[in-house]
Amino acid sequence: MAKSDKEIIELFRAAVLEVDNKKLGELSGTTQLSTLGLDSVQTMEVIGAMEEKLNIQFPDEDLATIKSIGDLTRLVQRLAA
Amino acid sequence: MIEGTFLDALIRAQEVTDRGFVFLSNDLVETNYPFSKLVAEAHKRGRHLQKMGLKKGDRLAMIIPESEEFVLTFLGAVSVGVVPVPMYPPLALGKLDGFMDTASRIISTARARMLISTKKVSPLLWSLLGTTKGLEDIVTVERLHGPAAWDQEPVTLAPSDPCFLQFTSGSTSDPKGVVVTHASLMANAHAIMTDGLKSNNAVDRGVSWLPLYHDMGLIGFVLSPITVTVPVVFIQTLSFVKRPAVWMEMVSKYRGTITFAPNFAFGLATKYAAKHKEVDLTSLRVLGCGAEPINPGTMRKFVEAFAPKGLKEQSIMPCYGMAEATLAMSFDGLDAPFRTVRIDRDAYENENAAKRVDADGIELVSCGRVFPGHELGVMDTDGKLLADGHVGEIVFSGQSVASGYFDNPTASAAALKHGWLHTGDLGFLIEGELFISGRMKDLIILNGRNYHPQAIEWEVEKVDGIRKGNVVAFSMRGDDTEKLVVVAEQRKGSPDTLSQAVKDHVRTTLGLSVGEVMLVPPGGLPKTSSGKLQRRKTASSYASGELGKEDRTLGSNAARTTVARHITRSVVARVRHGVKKALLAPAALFRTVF
Repeated sequence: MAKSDKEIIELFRAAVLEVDNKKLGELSGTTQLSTLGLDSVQTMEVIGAMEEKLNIQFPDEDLATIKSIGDLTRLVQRLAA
Repeated sequence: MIEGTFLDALIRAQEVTDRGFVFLSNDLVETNYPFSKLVAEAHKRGRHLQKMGLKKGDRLAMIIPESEEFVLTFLGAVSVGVVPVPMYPPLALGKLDGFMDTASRIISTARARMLISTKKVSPLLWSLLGTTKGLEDIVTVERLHGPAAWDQEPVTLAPSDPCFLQFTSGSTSDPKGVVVTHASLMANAHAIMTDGLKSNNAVDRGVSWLPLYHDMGLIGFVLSPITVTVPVVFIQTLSFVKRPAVWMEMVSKYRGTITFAPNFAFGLATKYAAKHKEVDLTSLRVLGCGAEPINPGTMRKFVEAFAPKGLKEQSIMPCYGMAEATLAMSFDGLDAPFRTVRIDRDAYENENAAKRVDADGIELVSCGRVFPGHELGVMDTDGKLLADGHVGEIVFSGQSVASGYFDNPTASAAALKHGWLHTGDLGFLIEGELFISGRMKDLIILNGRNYHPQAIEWEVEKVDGIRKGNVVAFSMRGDDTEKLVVVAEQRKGSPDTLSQAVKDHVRTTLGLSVGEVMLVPPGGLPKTSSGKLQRRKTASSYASGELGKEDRTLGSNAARTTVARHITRSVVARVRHGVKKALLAPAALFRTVF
């Protein structure tokens, strides 16, 4: 089932809360992941938690290209398509 | 004296058909390679590489994320005397720019003419062709898959020939490639598998998620096990970082007996202790911990979390090593629980002496004893060896010492002096047991006293709101005296309150005045590709005012432009190198990226 941007953002928010016990503020497509205060290992933990929730796998080679929340939602939608 | 080359060992392994390597995909699907098949496949890939024009001694840069492809290609190169240069793949989120700069510097320093990657990753790498001095071609491992012609003469290798170049994980602006020779590799493999682990290929099985571009993963779990044909199960590194429970789950599933990791991984596994499926760790006899400073608290919590699952406390094995020594220099004993000493802080800081105390003081983990046939010593700045309990630079000698840095006689001469490898690490020996207390270059000197940055960092970590393992302490020239600076990643709380809490805590526990506390968001501290803190880089970024500003002003468009720029350069570089090398149509390429 295709997920909307908003649904994916909420999933992301829940994953960050789970991994780092942190509540994120306002998020939009242009929010840069590097501004959210996650280090590289935590970011991968979050990616792992999202994979589990969405039952998808992010291809390794796509990870380097994700910089913003928008990049992430587009990738999720492409993988689910 | 260990005779022969690694190639001899590889050829011997060809006889073994009933055990070998198991590679797990991201979905944990197994691909089995008995040693016989592994070696045959390596030989085939070696022939392909020869066919592409690579000759004995040529360096081959490798950027290959999949463990199966990495191992087969690496062994293929070695089988024909080609010298692989393993490099880390671009997998961290949004770090493509920094990755490309480092990759380009490593390739030109190694003077590699060819880079080998995979069909999936190479579209990101093509721009290296236009920007990297000496790099002539990028090929993909898929070209090594088909049958190969057997029309080449086998190469003959001497123990003194280079086997591969290991770029150290700190490699950034001035990368240095350690030349691992066949002789140093075979000597260290013997020390690890036979002297250190007392391995038995009929009962032992390694389990590893360690990155293969890093010495502990590559030498410890690929090359050394081949020399004694101990079977190994490989988990993809990203599988572990995405789902840390997979490490102990696979140890349990495959009845692993030997696994190793850096300190941080023990913390991560403990954090996910409750997320593990049912695991039984009774098979595990060696759980090595090395490659970064060992925090006794982290190890204790790990033991506490997994003891109910059958983890034996004595399986924890602290060890000490570095790429310049090929890999390992000392292992702790096999059957003893890990040990620590507490030493008096004043004596350490004022007299460079390690005086044992019963409580308080600095707690350090024993890294065990040096391997037979090798020597560890502690040296003062005049090159004099020191007695037990005196603090100085750790020096090492023996056949495991690699033959210096590639093409860099100045750095090699600085590291290898008077027959000793100078590690740059500070520490001491007590009755032959090694204790590491810090890095020489990181030593903080305040009011004429020496302070150990880790001791300060570990205190700062205890302040609520600071991220564990993400604190850097260093000294800077202040107005009239050196000032102590602490940079820490902040988890929560108000910056003002937290800064004051850090200052108060350091003053109470260590009696030191912190000149400045700088709080950065998680991920704000510079780290190496393997996640180690970079003290000197942190200090220089702090001094130049860049710290905490990187990457934080980019808008979405700017970020996407970075990716687009690399892709555009890639397309241009590919066109320049002939259409026949195009791997994907541009449309598919953009789909991969956006």
